[in-house]
Amino acid sequence: MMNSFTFTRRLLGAAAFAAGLAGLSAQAQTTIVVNGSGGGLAQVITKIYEEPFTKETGIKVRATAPVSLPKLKAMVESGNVEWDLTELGGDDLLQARANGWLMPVDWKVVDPDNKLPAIARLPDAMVTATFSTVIAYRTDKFPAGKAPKNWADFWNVKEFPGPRSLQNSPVGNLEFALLADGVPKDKLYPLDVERAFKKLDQIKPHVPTWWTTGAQHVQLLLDGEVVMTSVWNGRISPLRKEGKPVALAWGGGQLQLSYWGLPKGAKHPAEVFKYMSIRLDPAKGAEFVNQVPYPGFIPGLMERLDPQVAQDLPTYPANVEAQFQFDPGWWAERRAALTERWNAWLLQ
Amino acid sequence: MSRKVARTILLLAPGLILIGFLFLFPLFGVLKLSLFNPGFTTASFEKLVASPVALLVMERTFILALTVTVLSVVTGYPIAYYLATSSPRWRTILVYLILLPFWTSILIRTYTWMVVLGREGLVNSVLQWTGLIDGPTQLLFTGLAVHLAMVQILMPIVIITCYSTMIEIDEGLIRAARTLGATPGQAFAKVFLPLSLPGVATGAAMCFILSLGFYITPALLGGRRNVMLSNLIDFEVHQTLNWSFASVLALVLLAATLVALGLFRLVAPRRRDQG
Amino acid sequence: MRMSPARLALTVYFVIGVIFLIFPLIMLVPLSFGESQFLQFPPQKLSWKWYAEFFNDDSWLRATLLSLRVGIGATIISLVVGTLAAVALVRGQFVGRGLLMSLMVAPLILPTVILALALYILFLRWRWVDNALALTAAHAVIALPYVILVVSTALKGFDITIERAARILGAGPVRAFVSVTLPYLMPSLFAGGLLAFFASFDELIVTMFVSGGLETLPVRIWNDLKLRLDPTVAAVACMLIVVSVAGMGLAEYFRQRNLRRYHNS
Repeated sequence: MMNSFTFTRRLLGAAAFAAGLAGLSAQAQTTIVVNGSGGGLAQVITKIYEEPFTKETGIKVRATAPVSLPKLKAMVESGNVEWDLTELGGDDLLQARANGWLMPVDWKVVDPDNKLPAIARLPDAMVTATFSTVIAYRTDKFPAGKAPKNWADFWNVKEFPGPRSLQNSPVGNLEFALLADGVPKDKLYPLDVERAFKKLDQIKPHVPTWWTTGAQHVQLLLDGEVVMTSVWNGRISPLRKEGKPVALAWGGGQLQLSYWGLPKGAKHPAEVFKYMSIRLDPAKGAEFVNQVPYPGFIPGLMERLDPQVAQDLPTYPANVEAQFQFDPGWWAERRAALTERWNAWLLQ
Repeated sequence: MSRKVARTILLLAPGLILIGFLFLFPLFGVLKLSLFNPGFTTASFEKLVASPVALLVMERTFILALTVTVLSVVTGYPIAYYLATSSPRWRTILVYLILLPFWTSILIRTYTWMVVLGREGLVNSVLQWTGLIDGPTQLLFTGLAVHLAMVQILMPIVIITCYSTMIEIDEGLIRAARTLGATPGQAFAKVFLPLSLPGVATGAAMCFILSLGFYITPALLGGRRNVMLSNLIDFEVHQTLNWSFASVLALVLLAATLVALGLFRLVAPRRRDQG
Repeated sequence: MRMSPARLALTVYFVIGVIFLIFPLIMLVPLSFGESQFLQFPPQKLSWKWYAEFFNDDSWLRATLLSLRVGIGATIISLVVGTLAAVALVRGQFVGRGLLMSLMVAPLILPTVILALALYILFLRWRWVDNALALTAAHAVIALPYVILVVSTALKGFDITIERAARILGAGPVRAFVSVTLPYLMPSLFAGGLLAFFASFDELIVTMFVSGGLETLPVRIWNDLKLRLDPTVAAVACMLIVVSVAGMGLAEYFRQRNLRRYHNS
């Protein structure tokens, strides 16, 4: 790995040198503002992506946080756009797209050799990472052999007793309910909403709280407030390393994507496209995934990883097999109405 | 323009600027957002009437505020009475004891209930230790938790307002009633209670108005049913991004507060000017 | 003196009531000094670990510092603005005086989330989100009613003839106010300032809406609570309780003392 890394760096260095000569005078002062989720992730990104990028191109990168749709909305609507690039979750992308808050990506610059698979190349966004919403459970409550494996087990409160938690959102939960009710994962869409809510009725009394934030579910699990919950896969690996009694079940996991998009009216699109292209470097990608288990669709990434790390990733072949492919398109027009119905259902 | 008028204006100017720019103007923005999107429209108000969620949340908010107020008044009144009738030597210390929790932030007082009511929390461990229950029972994220915490947070206000009215009551009146043959109970019911009612009304009104706007406690302690208007507004702002609907909900909350305030002014006897 | 049965019952009720009010706060002490993440019953080994965690964690310290900065700023603004307004409101004779008074203390009664929403929309447009100065100004609005209420109550009790005497003796209006009225108001200003400071220091909802990525102490606590039940919060809460009880107690003491002083005069 070291070898390939040095090699790539040298290669990039040469390329950057050429690019630097060409664009030195024009770009010396440019700073692009990249908005992300902040925290530990931001530090990793700064070290792996931003600093080398600045060194190579002379374009400075200023990182801001957090990802906030209200801010994006206000920026685009007022024409006062601060961000040049922002991270977006699947939900965020749908809303941003529906409201026309994004500008198209120039793929001729970002990925001229068509290296990315089609799933990662959208007209207005690029997939930067994948993550999965899966089941996490307490191993001290459910030892090996008696552990829940999929959503049918999650719904089975007799064999797997104890309070549970799910996200406070219809997105994903409707799919989980249908999977629990026996719908095969390739026949999920279009979702049978009535059937899903009927199935959700069964689990409702066993869910004392519906989580809203990324790390809340983990803590509910650690605090013993619930014995199993839906979680984002990346939050569990570090806990297992610390020896906490938690584990994941990939069965019926919701494979999701997170994106990079340019706010409409962003001021430095040319520089941003250049920055986006470094996300295609598999060596940097491997370095990133070794620290944060959210891989993108970079060709040649898996091969560079330690198998131990790879098997905890949502894009690991066996895990891909167990999960279903989430369809944001189905949700696009229905999300608002279903959220309203979801809230009404929760209040009952 | 006389110098005195000029001086008054000068003194008021900073306050008017602060309140104008960061209070009135933003509130006006909320009003505008609820009616213009970007052209004039009543769509958000129509949505309010048609939305089962909003109607249910409004109803729940109102009922919760009312319940908490009644509970706080009923449980707080005897405490205020005890304070008012205790010896002056003890009184100051006892009053400070009641004020003690009042001086800590609502966030922290809510947090303490999370600690007490959690599945691995104090109440559950004591109940299990004594063998009253076998496994942990769900206390956190329930309506019970919200009620307990809100009453604990708001009761000191009721106690203090009742108490300050009660200590003004002339003891001679009670004694007079007693010499005229009233039992202690009758003297209390016929003389003391009616005289203490203005304090009760003030305390109840404050309690109700503050309850209407509660956000932190239901968010941290409540379950899926315990959503109040404030929480719904937050949801519309940050999750659905429907700011014009959020503004309509905010106006509803504002109107409810003003109506409660107006009713209280109407019903409550005009208080003597303090000073 | 023997207690009547009714009085005895009332005493028992009072004790239960006080326990209900205070007990949850007291619970934090053993939790914050415990070893374990959960409250152990009965308590076990004592430890300073959660307090150490607070002082070793940059994000906690940064949040505390920001809260102090914003709190002090908001206190100064609201104290100056509020005192001037209180003087005009108490001494001036003009139409709409009552209305203006109500307006300036309205932030106290208005449900906070309304102001939070209103300021958020405005700050997003002005790009004031994420800005400590803007946050301070917003907090000043929230703190203002406390200053106005405390100072105007004190001013109403002040015998204005003393100031007039000073004027007759040749002092200008400003000098008469500064040398006669201001010293009299000092305890009330101190009390109002403390109340204003804690109104800002404890403020969560408006801050959460408009602060963007900035974390004040309450926002830091909130973010932690949304995630976990970490006794670091208990340790922070214990320290905050001590600070705010001391501060508010002091404010109450000064307010009362001033009230008594002019009641006697």
